[in-house]
Amino acid sequence: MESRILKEYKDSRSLQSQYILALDPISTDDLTHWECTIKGPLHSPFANHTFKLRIDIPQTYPLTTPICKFEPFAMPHPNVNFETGEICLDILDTNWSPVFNIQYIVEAIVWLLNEPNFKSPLNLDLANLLRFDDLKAYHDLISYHLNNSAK
Amino acid sequence: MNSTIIEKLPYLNQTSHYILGGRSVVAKLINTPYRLLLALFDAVKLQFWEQSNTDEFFIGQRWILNTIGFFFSSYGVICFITSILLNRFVLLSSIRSRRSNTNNTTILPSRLRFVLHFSVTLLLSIILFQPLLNSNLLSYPHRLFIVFTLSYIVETVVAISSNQIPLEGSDYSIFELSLQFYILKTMKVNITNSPELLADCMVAIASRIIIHFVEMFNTRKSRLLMSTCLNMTYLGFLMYRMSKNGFFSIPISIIFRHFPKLFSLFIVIASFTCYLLACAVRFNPTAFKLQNLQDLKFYSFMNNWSKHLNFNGDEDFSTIINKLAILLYLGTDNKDKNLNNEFPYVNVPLEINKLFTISSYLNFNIEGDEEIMDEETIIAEWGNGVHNNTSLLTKFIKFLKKCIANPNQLGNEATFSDDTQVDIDEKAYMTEINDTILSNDDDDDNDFNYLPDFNEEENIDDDDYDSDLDDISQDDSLYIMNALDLISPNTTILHSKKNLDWYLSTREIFSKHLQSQSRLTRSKYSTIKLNNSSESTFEENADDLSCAVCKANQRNIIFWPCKCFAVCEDCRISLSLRNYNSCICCRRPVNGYTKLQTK
Amino acid sequence: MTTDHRRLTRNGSLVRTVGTGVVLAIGAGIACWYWWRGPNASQETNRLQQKEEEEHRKEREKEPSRCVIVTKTLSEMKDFDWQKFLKDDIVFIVVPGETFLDPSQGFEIDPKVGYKIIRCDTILGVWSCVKSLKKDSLIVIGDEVEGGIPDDISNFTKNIRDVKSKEELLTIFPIPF
Repeated sequence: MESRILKEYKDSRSLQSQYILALDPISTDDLTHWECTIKGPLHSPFANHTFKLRIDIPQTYPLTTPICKFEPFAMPHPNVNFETGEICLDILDTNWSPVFNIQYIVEAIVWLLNEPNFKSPLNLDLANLLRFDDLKAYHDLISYHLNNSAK
Repeated sequence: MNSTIIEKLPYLNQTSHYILGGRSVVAKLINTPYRLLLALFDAVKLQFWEQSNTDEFFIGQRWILNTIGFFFSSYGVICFITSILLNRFVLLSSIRSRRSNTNNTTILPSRLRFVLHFSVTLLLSIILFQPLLNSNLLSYPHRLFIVFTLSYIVETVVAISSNQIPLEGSDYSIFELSLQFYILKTMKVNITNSPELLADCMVAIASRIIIHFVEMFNTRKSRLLMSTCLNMTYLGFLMYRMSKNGFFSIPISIIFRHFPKLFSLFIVIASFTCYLLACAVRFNPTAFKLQNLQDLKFYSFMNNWSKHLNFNGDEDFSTIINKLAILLYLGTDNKDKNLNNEFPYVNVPLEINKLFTISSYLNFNIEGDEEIMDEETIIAEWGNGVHNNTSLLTKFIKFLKKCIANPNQLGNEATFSDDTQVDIDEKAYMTEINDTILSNDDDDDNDFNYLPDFNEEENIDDDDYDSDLDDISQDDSLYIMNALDLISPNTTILHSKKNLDWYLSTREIFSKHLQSQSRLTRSKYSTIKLNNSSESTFEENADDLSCAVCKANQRNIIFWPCKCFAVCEDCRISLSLRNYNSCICCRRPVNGYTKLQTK
Repeated sequence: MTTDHRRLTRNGSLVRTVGTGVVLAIGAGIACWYWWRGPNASQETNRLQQKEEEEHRKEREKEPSRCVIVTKTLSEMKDFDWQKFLKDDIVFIVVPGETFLDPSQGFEIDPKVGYKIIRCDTILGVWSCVKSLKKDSLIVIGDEVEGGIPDDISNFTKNIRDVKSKEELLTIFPIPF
């Protein structure tokens, strides 16, 4: 487990990605807690905003899933619980495979921002907007929440 | 008359109790129901005690009484108060650490920690040696229990306040002990009469002493060792008592508590003995060493059992021994299923990465089982395509003209015009390929076998072909490039991805072959590919064949039927222990695996 | 014999007194520590909580957050200075088919507050927005909303103000002088 995380830490040093602005362990002494800053994808309502992700790696990693959360009250997204920041993503749950690494997860989360799935909602109202195919309201409501929490 | 009834039934006389003093009407109105209630309560209580002292109870009733009584006994009360206190404390600290969001929760000075632990250790040792000092042990369980709870409180509070997880004993919890002592009390069993019980209590105390000792000197890692010694001693004692007095002389509570351990220990010892015997069989007296140990199914597990067990050293004996027994048992339980079904080794003559850089051909075979069967038809299709297509024919005629203009190429021309044999035994060819790869045969003559269509389409002898190629100058290769266009299939038969892959993989080898000055052998091809790093996607990972899971060992397991080559033996075992049944790369169900042996 | 016995008992009593002494000392120590630590910690958290609550209360007293559903009547009040209200804690949800401070119609909205207008394509979307925003009060002309106000809206906003007349509307949004 240690060697794996060390390797991922090394890889994260040379990480260059359009949407991952920073991917760092909170302290270099303890590589089990990471913080990640991502940028909203360009053609999504989240563009021009940055989000902080908190990643906690369990002792049994990579056989079990790391725990990923957004900051509470910062991410209005159909598959993210607004109050707690929990994320509903299949690869963070049943479809986890030990081959995935932290960077992959973060990329999957960025992808999720672009491709919300209203069939497994954690934010019911936003998911309903998508279900009713009310994209205008969806975009406006998200930008309201983003601007409101930024204040 | 009146007085006799009240004398007989004293609970009817409640005149001394009242809520409101005085003799007013209001006071009477309130006091009378109160006294009635009191009388009723006392009557029930009296009846209860009288009944409970007789033996007329059913077992069920006795059991219910014991259960209710436990909650009001001193043991029960202490147990619940302590647990609620500790629970609150842990919760509060976790809330506060979340609130502050950093690690600056109050940490006790190390001196205070030491003093707390030391004083509790002192108390525990006094309790531990009390049975040896004097024989008056009527209140021993009670004292023991209180000290035990105190030890729990100190350990939890100190550990939590210094941001550590408190060390717990899985054998003796406060609740279990309180229940046990309570039952002993109600059964009126004297603890001194049963050496097993007394020893059990002493082991409980000793295990707490170990915890405090370990905390005092900050050597949590040595807890397992000490706990093992203690438990082994006690289990030995139990075995001795059992062989002397028989199985049923041991109290049930002790059987429940310690027999799982004993059973696990038995499993572990049995497995290790079997393994050692298997090793002994492989002992080669002439060379004086053990041979082929890695062939043993449990070889990797036994080498890395501590890793699979996933322990830090601060656990206690019983958790570890039970876990180990379960691991060993699981190994046989899932035998021949999924990740545990082993096929024979694949022996790889070269280093792994070389094999993979060479084999564009092998790579595209990693598509699935059915594909191998299909290839026969693919080749046939292609052959048909070559023959039926008219545009191809015109090209061929052009090529013929060019060849006639340049008589040097007549040999090649002949080979192409011979192109009639479509009937290709692909299966036989596949086995040939595998033989060459697997048989560690690096002979140059066989190397051309990885160019299947080459041989078959052109239908030439190896020897002829070799001599031809050796003669070809750089300029002449132009014509062969044309020939390449010629045999390249028409776009209509590239409709399926399979065909395209096939075409691309062979075409690449073919073109490399034409570009090289002399005869292209497998090793030369691999060096060319290594130099052109941009061409191969595999190239980036060529130096990284470390296991995809642990990133520490080299990969040496292939899963079937998906043929994914991603993990090492250790990780395969960890995965199978966690009931992963599908391939970690492609999620297809796995029905077996093969170990790769590099030499 | 007797002296030995006496010494033994004396030893036993000594052990007992020392034992009880240590127990008492530790008990007192723990109690003191708890006493010293407990109120401090709880006071600290209490103070923090109080501060937060006070801030919240101040905010709430200053201006209760409002959510306005813009229907026909409101969108027709074009000469009304809506931009002034946009500075408050307010959200305008525009029902489908209505235009409201639409930049395409020449309205210039400060982008700092422009996000407070949510335009919807479906009426179900309007109610989803209301539920998601959870504002203190909801201002709506119930007669103009297609399908009326759903029953479960009251679970998401404490105060639903169903406006019946234009005069009532003017009391909510006083005309600035």
